[in-house]
Amino acid sequence: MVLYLVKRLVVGVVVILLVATAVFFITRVISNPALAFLPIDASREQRDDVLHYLGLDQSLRSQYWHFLVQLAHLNLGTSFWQQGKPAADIVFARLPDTLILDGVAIALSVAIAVPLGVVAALRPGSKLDRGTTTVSLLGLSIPEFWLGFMLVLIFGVKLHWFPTSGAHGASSIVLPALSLALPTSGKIAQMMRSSMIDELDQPYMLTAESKGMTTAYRITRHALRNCLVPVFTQSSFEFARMLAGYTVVVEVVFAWPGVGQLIVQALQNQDLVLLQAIVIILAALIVLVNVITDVLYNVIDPRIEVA
Amino acid sequence: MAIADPLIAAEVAFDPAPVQQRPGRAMLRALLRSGTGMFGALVLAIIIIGAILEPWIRPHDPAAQDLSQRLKPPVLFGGHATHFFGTDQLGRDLLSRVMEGARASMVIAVSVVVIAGTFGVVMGLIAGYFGRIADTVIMRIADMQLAFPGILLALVILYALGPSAKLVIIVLAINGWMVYARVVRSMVLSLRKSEYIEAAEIGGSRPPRIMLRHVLPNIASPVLTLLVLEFARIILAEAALSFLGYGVQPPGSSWGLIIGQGQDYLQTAWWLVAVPGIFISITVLSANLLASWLRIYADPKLREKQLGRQLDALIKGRE
Repeated sequence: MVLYLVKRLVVGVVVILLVATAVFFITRVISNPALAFLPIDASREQRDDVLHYLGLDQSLRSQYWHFLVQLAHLNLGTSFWQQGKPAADIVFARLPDTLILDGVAIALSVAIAVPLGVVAALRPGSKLDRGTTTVSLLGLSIPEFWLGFMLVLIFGVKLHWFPTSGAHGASSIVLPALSLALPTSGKIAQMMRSSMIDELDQPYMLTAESKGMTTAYRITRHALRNCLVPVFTQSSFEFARMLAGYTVVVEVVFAWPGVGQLIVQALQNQDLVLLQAIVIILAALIVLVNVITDVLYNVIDPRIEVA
Repeated sequence: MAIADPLIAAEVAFDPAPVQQRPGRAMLRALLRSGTGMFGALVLAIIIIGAILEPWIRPHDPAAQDLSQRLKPPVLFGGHATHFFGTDQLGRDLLSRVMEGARASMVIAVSVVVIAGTFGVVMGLIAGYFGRIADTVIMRIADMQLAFPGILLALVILYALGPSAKLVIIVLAINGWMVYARVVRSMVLSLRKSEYIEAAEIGGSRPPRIMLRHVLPNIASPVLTLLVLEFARIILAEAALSFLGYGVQPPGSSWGLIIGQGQDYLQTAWWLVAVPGIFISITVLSANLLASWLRIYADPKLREKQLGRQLDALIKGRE
């Protein structure tokens, strides 16, 4: 187990390093990122000053070496846009809001998906099953950001039930979390359904039935526990997927002050250092989520042995 | 869920001709009889044909502005019949714009699926068939790339190199080949040990021939399912990128871009956001329905299970 964990962590570090390298070279492809911070009529000296200050006047190889050394010291550079501020600090200040939003979204989607999947699995092939399956397929076919707009229209503009932008109070998380949760719950419900069907086909369920246990008891006490393992894996995969991109569009729709919106701001302000920091930190977070999932997976289901 | 009538399903599953000379035709017959699978295929066909014929069948020029006709609502909400889905902030016909957008979205999705699918399948075949170093290298790269924040990197690349439809295709293709490689590899690994592959090897067939003639046809239907699923995923990814302004660029058009351009008018002209989103959802749903039907059709074990359950449900329903 320990060996496995070390292996995973090493692979994780390599992934982070590759992502960092990719971002470094991609952002350096832009001819002159510093120009955005200068007035158009800036003198040659001014330009050279800025380039020198940012270290962009050196060769690409020495820049990359410098970047790696700094990365090893966990220094992600200082922001262009908010001058002087360490980029990592800006990202970490925004991170809690994103984690809360995505966490609530995942919790919501599990809460929606599990009952839906169980109901569908009770009588596979029945009208009820086909109905719930179609609903969950519909759910996972809707783009998150569009769903966000529709929720804003109905519950914000028409009914005035929830605030439509920003993060002020608990009620403002409802709509953004729902727009992330509904498509995800479609996927988790499908997973729940198929693993519940498999579980109900197991011989031990027949034993339980012949002992006179009620369906509700058999499902909650026996089957559900075993089904939660794949559901858990799927959920943490979906959590990583949100962090890897889909939180951005929803945060933009709802002006949610998280990392996703920060990405768009960094892009608009041509802040390459900040952009780089966001991508590296999110990549590290995704690696972390995957490793934690693996560990918990082992804890939840002792049958799984990793070597 | 795909096969509507269990009795017809029974007929399909116990088709008296197990060795089909034309598997395509048998599949089409089964598809015609399925409910949701057929629905998905039909809607997809309509949208794709519509996207191809778009320049000839659209009611208006999608770029023609008419400021006197700006922000007119759809027909069903009090608008005039000349603009079925209403007009946008510049008085352009929304239906024509959505049709134009369909073309871009379809071209991108199909290109990505073809490029990533071909590359991924070839990589999977190589990894699964040759094993050893090829397998290790390809699968390590695939695993690592799967851990990448895909959409995020796509966004950065599009920003850095200047967004365009062509670059969206490239970026999403790079981001999508791993899934095919993994699936194909695992199937090849199990096929590799079968007698007929061994027979072909003993017969002196070279690896490329074995892969093309013997391996590929046997993994065709799962790969087809995967292609349709990925098609759905790519439509959503492209819409998100274009919505953020880093995908298809104006004066071009795509569903995501139309939503992005219309978002400022959400309160006054909701149809600018609603209509293209409905098109995205219906297209993706159709692809998902088709894929879930394909998955069951392609897997005899699943098909049998499905049939058993439907008969079960039918009997229980009659009780």
